Amino acid sequence: MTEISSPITIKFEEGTTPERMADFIGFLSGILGEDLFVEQVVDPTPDSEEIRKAG
Amino acid sequence: MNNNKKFISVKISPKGEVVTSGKWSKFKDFLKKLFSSNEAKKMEASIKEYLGEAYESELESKKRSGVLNQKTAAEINNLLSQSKSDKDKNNRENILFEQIYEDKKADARLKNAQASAIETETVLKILEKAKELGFDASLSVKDDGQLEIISVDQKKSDKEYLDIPAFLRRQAD
Repeated sequence: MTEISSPITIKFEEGTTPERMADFIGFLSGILGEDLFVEQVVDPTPDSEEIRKAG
Repeated sequence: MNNNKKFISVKISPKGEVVTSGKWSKFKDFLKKLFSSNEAKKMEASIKEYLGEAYESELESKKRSGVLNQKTAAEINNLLSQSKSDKDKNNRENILFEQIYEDKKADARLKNAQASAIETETVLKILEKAKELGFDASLSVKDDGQLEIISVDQKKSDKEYLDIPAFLRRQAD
């Protein structure tokens, strides 16, 4: 059963730009016919190899 | 196929009284029906093929560790506010869910288990719009009932940007 007030989570590929994320959220907003807002953005945790390369 | 894909998780909610009016809940039901259509399943198949094992892996994860990114959240919200322009108002002429929601007969049909499917024409219009924008998307319903959409940007116009992990971009900012 869907929680009535719970947010919807969208998973975007890492590297997707905020502009493109806004495009997709705007698309959903257009279907709903109401404004949507972003509650939270969580980036993936970098793995050790990425941290090493970043120095 | 890319099995090392990672995902940025974005939680979205409606503004105003949409939640309390029950519209948000009905919208979720609408999305579930939309993404369970045969047409949407084709889109899901292409996402699965593109993401490979990363797709199932992401769906199965109960809770992934991550780093809160308030800057990007604010940036997206700012972009969404800016898009309340004439362009968006024009898009709203095409508000398919709104039309169904406001249509009492259609609303009754939505509640009717016998008519749980959305009309094919509506599904095609929405999926066509997603394609126009350059997105493929699939939806899964988690054990607790929460909805999770996996969205793949098919435009990928800035390949170099896509190859840079998010935390490195933040360091560069």
